[in-house]
Amino acid sequence: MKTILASLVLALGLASPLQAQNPETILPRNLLLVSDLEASKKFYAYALGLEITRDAPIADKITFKHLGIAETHTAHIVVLRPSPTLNGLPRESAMLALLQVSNPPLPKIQRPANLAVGEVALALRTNDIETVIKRLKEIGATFAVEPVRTPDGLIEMAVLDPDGVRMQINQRPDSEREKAARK
Amino acid sequence: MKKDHDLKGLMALLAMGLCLSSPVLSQDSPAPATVSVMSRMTMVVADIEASKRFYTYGLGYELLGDNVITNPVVKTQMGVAQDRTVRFAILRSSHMIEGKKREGAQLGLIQVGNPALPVMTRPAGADLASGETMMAMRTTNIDLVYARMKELKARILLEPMKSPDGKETELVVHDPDGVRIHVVQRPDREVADRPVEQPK
Repeated sequence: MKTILASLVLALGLASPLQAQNPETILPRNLLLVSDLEASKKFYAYALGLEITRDAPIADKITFKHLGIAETHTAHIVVLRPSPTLNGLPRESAMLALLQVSNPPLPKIQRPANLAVGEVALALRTNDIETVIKRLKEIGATFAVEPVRTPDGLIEMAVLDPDGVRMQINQRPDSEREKAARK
Repeated sequence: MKKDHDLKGLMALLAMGLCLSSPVLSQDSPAPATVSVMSRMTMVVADIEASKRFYTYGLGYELLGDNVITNPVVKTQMGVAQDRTVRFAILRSSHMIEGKKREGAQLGLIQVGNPALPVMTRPAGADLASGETMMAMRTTNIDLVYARMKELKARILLEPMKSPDGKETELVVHDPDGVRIHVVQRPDREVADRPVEQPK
């Protein structure tokens, strides 16, 4: 009950004029630190169908400072863009970037279980899950949860990217809200 | 908890994606034949109250919902046993930034109990490791974010640092579970399709 009250107070507080004093922050980009860029590109661009908009070494040394890595490292970035529309509706969503640091490579994070505190699971929605499944199998991806089909037309599964990042992928019909928004 | 997020609504949110439709691909355009969109990042947290405070008070996110998950399908998809307790909160980033309507992907916070999950760790001495996920955020008021990060006793990996031209300031922090966040303030311009780093 206390928790519920606290949530309510928090929600009310955010809706109050005090909101003007809060910082405004958006999340334009999610970055994954990858150990094998080519494997990750296959996963995200080929299997999931995200569009590569940038694929280049990072020359800007200030980025190395931001990352807290020595300038003797090399770093390569691939930026992937989600589709800008959903069933004909323009949408904004976060970009996904893959970042590989080499020379020497970064140590690997230690994930003690399939699901662990500190990890970030990504949720994706696709228009063609059959192709996604076929391609994921083709590249040998790990399925944490095999595709499940529900009576209302949702197909959902959980897969791990080449570095073990969990990915919830689904295909589903438009919700009533989305249908209404198209009119 | 908000009334407008009943279980069905939550299910829909859990399953929600932002974009899916396929733009027509021309004949000569190579694969992909599929269109996928990242709709949400869900952070697996140790203390959901601390995380909510971090993202709402610290960064200005809005809390959309906070519920206990009982749906067995959802638990299965997350790979947790049915007897575990699962709490799930959804946050949305601010709508207005520098006078423009901006809506980023949603953030989810998930806390699993009974028993609690193990914690992911970086190798000793490393602040950066492959397999980790970082977030790049953009804010309108980095001084305020910085002050709140200090107030919340967040771990600060990089004090606010100005770019050589003085136009951008970047701050790097860890969220309560060690997820790396780069917070940037920069003059207004299109950000949605802008690459992270501009080559010189």
